[in-house]
Amino acid sequence: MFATISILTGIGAACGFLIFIMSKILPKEDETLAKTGVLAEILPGMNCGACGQPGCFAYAQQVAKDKEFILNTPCMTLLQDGEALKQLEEILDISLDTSGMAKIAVIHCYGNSENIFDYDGIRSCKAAAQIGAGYKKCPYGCLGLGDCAAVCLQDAITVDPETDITKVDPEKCIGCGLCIVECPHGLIELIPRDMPHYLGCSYTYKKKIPGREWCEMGCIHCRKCIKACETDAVTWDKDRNLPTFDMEKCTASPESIEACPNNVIIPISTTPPAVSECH
Amino acid sequence: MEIFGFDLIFGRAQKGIKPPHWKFTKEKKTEKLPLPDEVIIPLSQHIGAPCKAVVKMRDEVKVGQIVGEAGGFVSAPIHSTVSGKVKKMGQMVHLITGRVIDTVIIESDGKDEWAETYEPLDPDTASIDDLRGRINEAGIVGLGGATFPTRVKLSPPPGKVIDTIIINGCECEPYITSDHRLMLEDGEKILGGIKVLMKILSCDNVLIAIEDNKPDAIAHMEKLVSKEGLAATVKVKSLPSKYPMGAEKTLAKILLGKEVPLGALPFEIGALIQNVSTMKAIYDAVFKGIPLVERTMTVTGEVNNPKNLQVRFGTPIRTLIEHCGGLTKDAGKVIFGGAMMGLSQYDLDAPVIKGTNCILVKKAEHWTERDCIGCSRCINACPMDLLPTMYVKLVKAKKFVECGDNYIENCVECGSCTYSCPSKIPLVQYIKVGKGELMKIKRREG
Repeated sequence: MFATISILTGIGAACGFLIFIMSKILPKEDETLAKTGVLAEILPGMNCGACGQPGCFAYAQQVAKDKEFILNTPCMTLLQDGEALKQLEEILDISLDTSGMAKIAVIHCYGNSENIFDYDGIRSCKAAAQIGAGYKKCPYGCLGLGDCAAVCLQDAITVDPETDITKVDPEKCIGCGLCIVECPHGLIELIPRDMPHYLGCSYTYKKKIPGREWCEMGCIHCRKCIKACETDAVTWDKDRNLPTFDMEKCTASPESIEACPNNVIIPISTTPPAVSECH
Repeated sequence: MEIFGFDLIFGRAQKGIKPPHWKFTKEKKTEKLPLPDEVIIPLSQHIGAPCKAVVKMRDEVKVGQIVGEAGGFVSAPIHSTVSGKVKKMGQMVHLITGRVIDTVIIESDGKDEWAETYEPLDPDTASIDDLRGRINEAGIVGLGGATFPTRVKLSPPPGKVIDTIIINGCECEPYITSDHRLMLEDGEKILGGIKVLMKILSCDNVLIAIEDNKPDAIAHMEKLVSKEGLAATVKVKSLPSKYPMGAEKTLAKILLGKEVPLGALPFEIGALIQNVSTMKAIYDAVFKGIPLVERTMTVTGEVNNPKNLQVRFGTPIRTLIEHCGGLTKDAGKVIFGGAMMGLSQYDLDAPVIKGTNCILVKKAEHWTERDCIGCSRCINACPMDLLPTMYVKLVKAKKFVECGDNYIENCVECGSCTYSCPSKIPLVQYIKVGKGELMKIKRREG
């Protein structure tokens, strides 16, 4: 009886002593680990992967290790949320200059080119685009089968089932950029949220293609927008044969939008979206 | 067939499917199609770099004159196929790749005047470089359907020795009979082409592979081989009729017992595989100095009078179908190539190109895709021993890198899996999406 008690007490005392020694020798708990926990609370927790990390916790780990990481690869979702940004600045003790960093996705096509044949395969843009550039008259246009809508975590992209027109809701889009790689024709681009408008056409070839002329809603290359713009923000891209808008010079004045005879220049509403809760 | 018999007994026979033959046109002699009024010549009719146009608007051209210069090493020049005036330099969407490419439209003057063709060469006396150069000048590409420039195939990398030439006359796809007719009508020319290949590669082991549903072609080729005194070097092999017997890798496996390594060309196992039509084109280019301007093709299916035709490249499909008596009431789909691997076309004004061996008109049928029931028929059918059903699951889940880990690039897109699927899943289309996306990922990541 006495032997048992003394042995167990001995083991306990020995273990306690060992723990005391080890706590003196080993380094204290890693600061970054504690920081990661706090940061992960602030991050949106959607695990969208737009920052290139496997998830929000992995992003928090990277930021906790190196403050600069957030400047090089900002979390697009976080940029939409002012309060969360303030909290982050306090924790990391840095000041972020977020002007011009917030982005929004736009589709450079109205998507209402005529169908030239019946497509009867997999309901996916990637599959349809492999058959002679797709079933639309315009070989550069949106196919409207909704590969981009399927990956959007915010349900910001919608496809009208009747007209096949794909649209991004600027109220919902957070600019994560997940949809960009999904488009087989490369129509989706992230543009600064401050941009007042974008071009709704991607017909880049210089000559007409027999049987495949551009659609009624396409850019007719008249260059009226360049003449109308007072701030020289619109320039002509010779390689792509389309106008480009200079972000820094562009003001919200609607001259070029009004000048376009085909209404191809589409205005964007500038109200920032409310970030939805974790999915 | 010593190898094949052995394999059958031990269950190692070539996998594949047995679709009905439907070779309705095998008794019909090849007809020459009258010259079309205008030809549309896309400046990219082969795998590799597109050609650069060397003619201008309103230029007078003659048959055999170069209109598109080769754009690189893996490329082949394109010749005018009629004599007349360049009517338009336009653009079109490529029939297969979907890229926008330059096109030359030539209006025929009906005279069919030939440009100064090349000097005929004698393969016994001409140098190897001359012969190889002639094959390149004549714009010869693999006419089996893949349109890989023949010059590249005939220039094996240093250190690689080709010890077997396989001439592919299998024609395993249903409906197509153009190679069959070519062997019966122009067998001597095929042997002439083989002689040129033997000289270029200094190889004296040639196998002519023909499926056993063409006994007349086998007998005819055997007779010709013994008549020409080539019996010691050229052997005619009869293969069982099983799709896809004519695929390059399947042929190498079944005739030589060696598998082509992953992602490699048949060079690696010392084999060169060429179609019989390519042999005839080589004969024309070397012995007669005629560039590649026409080929034999089959027009079959829902047309009133199916035929084998000799057609100049660039002829619109409409002309061919009208020559064959027009479409029947049931016609709903026009396919370039065979029923298994062909690609349907939306425009009857689309021109035939170097790779077109058949124009097949089919009824419009609609299949609804159902869920996979896990029957594994596609796995049993796959000639490359792949797992088609797994790729469908991976592509649906957007796991393209995992597709690559499971050797999706080895797929030859023969369509055996789609044919055997009871749930009507378009497996090949899913695999094509997987391959395309994997290519994009690889390009992005370097």
